[in-house]
Amino acid sequence: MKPYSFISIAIILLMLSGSLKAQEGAEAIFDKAVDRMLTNQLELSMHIETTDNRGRVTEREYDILMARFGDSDKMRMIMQQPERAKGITVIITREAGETGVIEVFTPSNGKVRKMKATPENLARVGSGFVLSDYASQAQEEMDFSLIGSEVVDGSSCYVLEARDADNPSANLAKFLVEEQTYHIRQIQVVNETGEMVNITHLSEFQSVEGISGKVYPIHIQSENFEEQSVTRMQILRVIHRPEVQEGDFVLEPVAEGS
Amino acid sequence: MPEPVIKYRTTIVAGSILVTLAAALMIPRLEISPGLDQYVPEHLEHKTYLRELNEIFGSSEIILVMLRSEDVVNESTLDRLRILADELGQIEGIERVVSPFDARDILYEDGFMLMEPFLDEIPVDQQEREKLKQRINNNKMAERFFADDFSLVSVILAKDQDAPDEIVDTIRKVISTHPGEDEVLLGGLPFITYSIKGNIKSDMSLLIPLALIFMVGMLYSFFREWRGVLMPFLIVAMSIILSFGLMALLGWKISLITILMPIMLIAIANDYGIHLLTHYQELIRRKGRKSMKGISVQIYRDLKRPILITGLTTIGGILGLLTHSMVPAAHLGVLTASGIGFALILSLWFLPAMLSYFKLPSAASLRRQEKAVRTNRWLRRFGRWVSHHPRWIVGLTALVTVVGILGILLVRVDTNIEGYFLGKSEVRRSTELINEEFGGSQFVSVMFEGDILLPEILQRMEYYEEEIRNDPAVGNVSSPVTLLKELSKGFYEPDEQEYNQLPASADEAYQFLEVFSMGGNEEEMEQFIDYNFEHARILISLRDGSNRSGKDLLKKLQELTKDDPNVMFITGNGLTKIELADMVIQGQIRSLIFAIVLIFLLLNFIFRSPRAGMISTIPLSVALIILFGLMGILGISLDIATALLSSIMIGVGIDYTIHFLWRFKIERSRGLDHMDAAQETLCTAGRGIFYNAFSVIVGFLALGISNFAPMRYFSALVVISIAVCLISALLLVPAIVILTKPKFLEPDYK
Repeated sequence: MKPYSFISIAIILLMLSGSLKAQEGAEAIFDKAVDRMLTNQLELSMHIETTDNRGRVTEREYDILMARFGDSDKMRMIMQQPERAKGITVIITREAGETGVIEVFTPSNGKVRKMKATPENLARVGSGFVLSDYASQAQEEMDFSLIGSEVVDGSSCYVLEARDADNPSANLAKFLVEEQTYHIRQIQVVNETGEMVNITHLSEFQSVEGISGKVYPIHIQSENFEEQSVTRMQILRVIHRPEVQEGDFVLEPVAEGS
Repeated sequence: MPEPVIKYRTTIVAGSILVTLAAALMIPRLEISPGLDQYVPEHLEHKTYLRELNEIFGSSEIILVMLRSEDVVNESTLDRLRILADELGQIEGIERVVSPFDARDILYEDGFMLMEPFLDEIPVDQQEREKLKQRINNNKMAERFFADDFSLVSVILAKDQDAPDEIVDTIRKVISTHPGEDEVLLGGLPFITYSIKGNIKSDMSLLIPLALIFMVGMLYSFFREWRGVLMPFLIVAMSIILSFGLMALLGWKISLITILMPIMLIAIANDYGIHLLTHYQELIRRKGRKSMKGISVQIYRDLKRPILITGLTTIGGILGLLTHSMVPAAHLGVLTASGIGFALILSLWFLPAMLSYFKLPSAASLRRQEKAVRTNRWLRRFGRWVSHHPRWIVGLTALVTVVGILGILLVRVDTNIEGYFLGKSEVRRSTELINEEFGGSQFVSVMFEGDILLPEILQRMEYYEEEIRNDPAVGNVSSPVTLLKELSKGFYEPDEQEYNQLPASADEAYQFLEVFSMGGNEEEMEQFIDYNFEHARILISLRDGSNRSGKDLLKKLQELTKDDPNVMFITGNGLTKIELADMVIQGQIRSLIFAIVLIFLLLNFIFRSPRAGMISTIPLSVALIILFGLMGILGISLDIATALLSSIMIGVGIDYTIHFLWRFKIERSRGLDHMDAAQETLCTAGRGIFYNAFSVIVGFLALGISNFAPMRYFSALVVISIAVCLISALLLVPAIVILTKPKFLEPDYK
C-alpha cells in the first residue's frame, strides 16, 4: 500500500526539467522528451488506484500543484478522496543542496505539522517508485547513453540508459522514448543485480490546456516487482498555471472552532 | 496331509519378506508434520476465525530472534542486530521484520513533527547509552523489543503461513554469518514446531531402536535361545515397516500422534509371537519323539484360535480411534490396526513356517531354557496365592478403582506445546525468556468490524485493553488505541489536553493514520487495522500458555465484549489449542466407549456368552480407571499423546485377558477344578503374558531419555498401563473366574 508513489514521478520530472544539461546523443533525446512534457507550473487532478501484493485495492484522489521558484521546487497536494481525508494538504519544498520541508495540514484538528524532507523521508514517501533514488541526485551526475531501440505498443522507441556517474554499479534506469513524438513511454528501474524492480508505463499523451506544445500522459501505471504492487494513476485534469505564486504553497493552522 | 503352514512355508516366508520390502521402499517418501494445526479439523470455529484473521492482518506466525548479553545497549550488539534485521528480512518466506530500528520517535519539536527512526544512531559512549535506555523506557513502540534489565533485545520475524518450517535453518545460517559475543536465541511457535520436528526425528532414530534392543535383551533372558528373540523381534519390525510404508502410500505425515504407532506395535505386535514361542518351548520340554515341523504345526493348531481372536479384538479396539475427530488420531487407528493385522498374519503363518526351518534345540540350549523356566515355580506359587485369595483381590481392586475414579476428577488437560521441552533445551529457555521478558509468543486477537475509527469503538477498545492488562496470564496488549495515542504526541504538545489521548473524531483518527502512512509506516499500522479501516483488533500475547489460563482469559474476554456489536470474534493460536483439548477429551471418551462396546460384543460372540463380554471388559475398564486416576493423582496432564494411551491399554489388556480365558477353558476341559485350572493357566499362558508385559515395560523405559517431556511421561504411563493390564490379567481375571465360575468356560458349554 504505497499511495504516494506518484509524487516521485512528479518530483523526477520536475527536477529533470530544470537541471538537465542538453548534450549530444542520449542526453539530447532525453532533454527533448522532458521538454515535451509539462513539468513546471502546472495543476492536475489525479485518481490513484493501488493494488497491493494481497490483491487489496485502495483508491485516492488528489489535486496537485507544482512549480519552481528559483532553486526551490514546490509541490502542493490536497486530498479529495476518501471523504475522511478530504482537505489533508501536503506541501513539499525542496531547495538545491538543502534538506527541504514537508508540511502537512490536517483539517480535522486544524494543525499544521512540518517534517524534514530528508532523502530518507522523501524516499519513503515515494518508495513505490524506486527511481526516486535518482531524483535525489543532481542531474549533472547522471550519465546517459543510447543503447538501442525497442517497439512499445507498435511505436519504435529509443532506449536510453541512465546511470549514476559516480556509482555506475548502482541502480540504473532505462527510459523508452518514442522516436516520432519524444514521449517517454516507459521507465524501467533495474537493481545492482540486474533484476527489474519497477516498470512504469505512460500512455495517452494529451495536450495541456493553456500552453501549446506541451503534453501530459493521462494514464500512468507503475508496477513494483519487489513489493508486488501495482499503482494505476489517471490524470483527470491538467492545466498550465503560469500565474502560480509562492503564496499558493503556504499552509496556515486553523484555530479550533473557526 | 501336511498343514498349509508347512506345505507352503517357502512361499509364506518369501511372500512376507516381499511385502515388507515393498513397504520399506515406500518409507523414504514419508514426511513429518509437527504442528498442532493439522490436528484441528477444518470446520472448527477457531480455525475458521484464524484463517479470516490471517487474511486481514497477515501472518500471525512469529519467530523471535533474541540477542542476549549483560547489557545489550552497546555498539556491537545493536550493530549486529541491525545487520541481522536487514538480512533476515531478505529471506524468502519472511513476510515482514520488525525491530527496534523500525520503531519511531513521534514527537512535536520546534514546529516539526518528528517521526524519526528510534534507533537512527547507535550510541558509542556510556552517557549516550544511558540516554538511549531512558528513551527506550519512554517509547512504547521500542520498549517491547528490550528486556526490562536490557539483557535481551529482539527482532520479530513474521513468517509466511505457507513457508516451510525449514526457514529456521536459513535464519540460523544468516545468524552464523554474523558472529558476535552475544548469545543468539530463537523463539516463537514456528521455531517450537520446527524443534518438535527435529526431536521427532531424533527420538525415532534413537529411542525406537533402543526400545527394541531393550526388548530383545528381555526376550533372551526369558527364552534363553535366539530364535525366541528373533521371531517376535522380526514380527514387530516387519509390522512397523508395513505401517510406515502404508503411511507413505496414503500420503499421511508423521505427527506427534502417529509417532505413537511404532510404540503401540512394539507393545502389542510381539504378543502373539511370544505366546507361540512360550507354547513351543512348552512342547519342546515334553517327553517323546518330536520334530520342528511337528512342533510348528502343533503350536499353530493349539493357538491359532486364541491368537486370531486376540488379534481381531485388538484391531477392533484400536479402530475405535476412527471415531476421533482429530484426523491424525484416526490415521493412527488405521495404521496401527494394519500393523497389528500384519503381525497377526506373520505370527500365525510366518512364525511357524520359519520355525520349521530350525533344528531342534541342542541339549545345552534346553538346559538354559530349564533355568529360565524357574519363572514357572514363581508363577506356580503366585497362582496358588491368587486362587486362594480371590475375594481379597476383588475387594482390593474395588478399593483401588474407587481411588482411581477420584483421581480421574483431578486430571488436567493441557495441549500447550511449550511444555514439551525440558530443562536446558534452547526451546525451553527461549520460551521462558519470551514469556518473562516479551510477554509470550502465543497470541489472542479480539476482532472488531465496522467503522472502527469512531471514537466510541476506540474507547471501548481502550476499556477492554485496560481490563485485560491486569490478567496475570496476559503479556502485552496492543491495538490501534496504542498507536493513535502515540500519534497524538506528534500533533499535540504535552500541555494540550489532547496529548496522549484518543482522537476526538473518526476524521481525526483517519487523518492521524493517513499522515503516519505518509511516513512509510504502513506495516506498523497493518498489525492492528486493515487497509480500508473496516477491521481492527486488540492483539494480546499470553505470558502463560496453559489451557487453564487461556480458558480463563477467553471467558473474561467473552464476558467483557458480550454486548459489543462490533466484536466479530475472539480467536488466536492460543485458543486453538483449547478447542483441541476439548476435542482430545471428547474424542477419547468416544473412542473408548466404542472400543469397549465392540470388545464386549466380540467376546460375547466368540464365547457365545454375555458374561464373557462382561468378564473381559471389567479388568480392562478397571485398568483404564487406575491409569487415568494415577495421572490425576500424580499431576500428569492429559495431552495429545497421553490421551491415546488408553488405545494401547485396550490392545494389550484385552489380549492378556483372552489368552488367560482361552487357556483356562482348556485346563477346565482337561478336568481341573477352578482353582487348579487358574494355577495351571497362570503357569502356562501366564508365562507368555508375563514375558510379553515385562519385555514391553523394559522396552518402554527407553523413552525415559526422550527430548520431550510428554514422551517421558508417556514412557512412565505405558509402563504403568502394561503393569496394570498384567496385574488385571494375572490377578483380577483369575479371581473373577474362580468366584463366579462362569458357564462359558465350562467344558460342556456350547
